[in-house]
Order: sequence, then structure tokens, then C-alpha cells
Amino acid sequence: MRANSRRSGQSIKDGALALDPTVVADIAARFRYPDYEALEDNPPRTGTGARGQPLPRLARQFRRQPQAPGYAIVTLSLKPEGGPPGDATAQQMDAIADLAERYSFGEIRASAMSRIWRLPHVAQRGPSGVVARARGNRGRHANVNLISDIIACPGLDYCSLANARSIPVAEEISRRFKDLDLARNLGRLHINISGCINACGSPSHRAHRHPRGREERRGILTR
Amino acid sequence: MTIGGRADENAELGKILGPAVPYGEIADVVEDFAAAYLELR
Repeated sequence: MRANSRRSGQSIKDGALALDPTVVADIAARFRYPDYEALEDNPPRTGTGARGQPLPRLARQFRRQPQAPGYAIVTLSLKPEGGPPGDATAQQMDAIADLAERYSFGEIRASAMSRIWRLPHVAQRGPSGVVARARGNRGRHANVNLISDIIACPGLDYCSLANARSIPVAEEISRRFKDLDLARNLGRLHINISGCINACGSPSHRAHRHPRGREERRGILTR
Repeated sequence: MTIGGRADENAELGKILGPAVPYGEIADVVEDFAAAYLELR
């Protein structure tokens, strides 16, 4: 699939739709990276605490920032045990904004996983401080990419198209898998939940597991 | 319930696994999935 995409993209890039280089340069000038410090790239520190101790629970929340040596992308999960996935209180949003101001040049990104916030420009010497402060503000769930990192559509609670409620199912699953050791033992696993056959919770049915609501004569079932 | 979908560079559609599951049993079934996975992998 990747090779096909590359071939297809190249044929468009080199074909009748080829862009004038001055137009490309003009557009590129509108996307600027922050004024990064010249830091030494030191990826192992992204997975260690302030005293150099290993922090395996946190490691999956960090990725190297590919545009800048010495910086990391930090993911904060808003998928609490027993709560609606992705909900953030005003206080949590204020706290995330403060973290962005302090550590990430004031930038926050909402990821394609929806409901997860990313700080894209955190110096690698800073992630442990980010996480400590995020934990203090209940943005502390170290379940990124684990079974409780669930995407749920709004479901019958908020959507008139739905046949079934999605959020209570997500809350119950997150309670069943609150043991992070068990979740880590299962490894990377994504559950997407949709309240009807339109499957908004998982476009193209791409999740590892994907319950969808259906209405049948016996009542509301899921499939 | 579908299982086995992927959204990364090896994108794949999930497969429907068995009959429909009653709403109140979804979490139980997910737990069963997890237990079976740990046992069989």
C-alpha cells in the first residue's frame, strides 16, 4: 500500500498538476517551526526520570521530534478509568495550555486519534517535568496506545443517528482494564466503538476491535 | 464486533467475528478476547 501511494503521489507531483516552485516556496514560508535551541539529541532521556531511572510506563508517551534534534513530541492521554474518553474539564484544558506555554512553544496538537493532545516541541530534558505536572492535573493516564485508549463516537447520548450508547461501553471497558500491567502485557491495541452501523468511531473499520450498534427485532444489539 | 483492523501503513479492514453481542455483554466479550489472546499468542 505504501509503495502504491508513493507511485501515485509521484505521478501526480510530476504530472500536469506539478506546482510552480515559487508557489511551493511561498506556501512553505507560511509554515514555520519554533526557534529551537541547538540541543544534542539524546533520545534515551525521553524514557528516563529526572535521576536517570527508567520510566517504561511513560516511554510510549514520547517520540523524537523529527524536525529538531534534542526535542520530543509528548502525548497526553485524556482517557481516564471509568470516564468518557476524551473529556477534558476547563481546569484540565487550562493545565494543558500552561504546559504548552512552559514546555512546547505554546503549541498544542489534537492528534488523528482524536481526544489526545500532543505537545509537539518539548525539549528532551523536559518530558519528565511535563508528565509530573500533567499528573498533578489529572491528565496523567499513561495508557497511550493501550486497550483503554479507546475512541468512542458520541453514541445515543448525543447523536440522533445512533442505535446504541457508546460512552458507557468505553467507560466499562476502561474499568475492566484499569490494571496497566495487564494492559501493557496485551500491548498496542486499539478499540473503537460506534453506536450505529455508520461506524463514525472507526472510519473504514480500521480498529483492532470495533463494536458497532445495530437495532434488531430482539432489541438493541451490537455487532 | 469486528476484529483485526489496522490504521497504520499496513491498513486492513476488520473482520466480523461471530454473531451479534447483546449490549450488556460487550465488555465481557472484550475481556474474553483479551484472555484468549494472552493464552494463544
